[in-house]
Amino acid sequence: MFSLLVSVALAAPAAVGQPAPAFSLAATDGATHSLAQYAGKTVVLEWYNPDCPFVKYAHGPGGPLTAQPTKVTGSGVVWLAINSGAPGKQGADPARNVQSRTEYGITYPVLLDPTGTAGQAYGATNTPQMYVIDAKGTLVYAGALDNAPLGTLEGPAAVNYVDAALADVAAGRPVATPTKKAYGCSVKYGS
Amino acid sequence: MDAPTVEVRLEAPAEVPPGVPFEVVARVRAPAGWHVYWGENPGASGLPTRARLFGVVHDAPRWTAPTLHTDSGGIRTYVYEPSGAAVFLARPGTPGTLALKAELSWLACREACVPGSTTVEATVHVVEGARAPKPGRTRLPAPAPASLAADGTLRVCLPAGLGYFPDSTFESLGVVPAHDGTAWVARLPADAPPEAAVVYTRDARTSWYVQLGEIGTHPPCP
Repeated sequence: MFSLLVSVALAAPAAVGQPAPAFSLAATDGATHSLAQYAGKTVVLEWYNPDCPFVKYAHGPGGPLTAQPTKVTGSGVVWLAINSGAPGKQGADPARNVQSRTEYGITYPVLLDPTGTAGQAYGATNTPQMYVIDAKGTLVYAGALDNAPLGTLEGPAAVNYVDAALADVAAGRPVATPTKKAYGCSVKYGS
Repeated sequence: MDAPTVEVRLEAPAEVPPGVPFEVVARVRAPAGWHVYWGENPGASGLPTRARLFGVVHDAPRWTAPTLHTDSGGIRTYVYEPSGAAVFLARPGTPGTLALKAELSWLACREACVPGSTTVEATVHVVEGARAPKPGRTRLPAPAPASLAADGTLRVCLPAGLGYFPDSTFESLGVVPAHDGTAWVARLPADAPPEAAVVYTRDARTSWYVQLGEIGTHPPCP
């Protein structure tokens, strides 16, 4: 019980309104991407596991992540996927991540975080789980992609929280919904 | 990977008298090594189990108490490992036959996660003179002795050292009750929704709940 509490304390997550935690991670093609290199741009982080059914759904035919990233990056926003799966865990194999970019038609970098350091710094517990960082490097949204897990709508109308946050950022407004409980598979950390 | 076989059963009395509420129980059981998530809040990851009942007027389901599951990385989730249930209080009308249908959906996880759903059915005859059904044998959390003061101070008069499971609404308040030696105490915001609820568990057989909007019906603190 006490070791459990300690591990939770170590995972004290990034807070909305605070500077987004720095990271520097290798993508599936070997190129390194750091948050610092995108200073001055709006950045979207997507926690990723190619074999999680929620990720498969989101990147599958008609899924919410098939068109959204391309639309968003077309307007100058940076979109990065991060896989914090530990070696040997589901969806963590680098070759599988390379292949999944082709399978899902992903054009943005998929960064590998096998030690889970970036994932723990952001408090990512789900795939997918989304973060929006503004041009000043402040975390302005953390949570669910939308309100329709596996396409089943919860609530009267569909809301994509990332689109909503990006619209607020682009308009210079505070993000109206800065957090929303994420849903999905657990991130497959190593310890 | 093979999909896990999650067993779902719908239990209802064969005969009930008109106008007397009775329990309809939808049970879910995950295979060994797997879990599904609490219907009120999955915790830090996952997806709540959903249950919808058709064919009779009924109240919102109440869910049996979950247990804590900790994944690597310290991810704490609220689960049925292996089994849990949604209990509906059904309100039969005039004599006749009720064709009950329940739709259940869940996310079953071990390391991998697999979503699933099914529909289960049961038939209940509403008959004049039928024996009133016995109280359910499904163990639901009992109302905890509790009070909510005008300044928003919630007191849940239960011992320390219990399992704590806030529902999604209570969790979103961002407040976690702390034990002061006699009760679990928290200062709630003025706009705390009446449906917000918390479950405390001592073991698999003993659990309690507090729902803010129902506190007047709970036993008072001693």
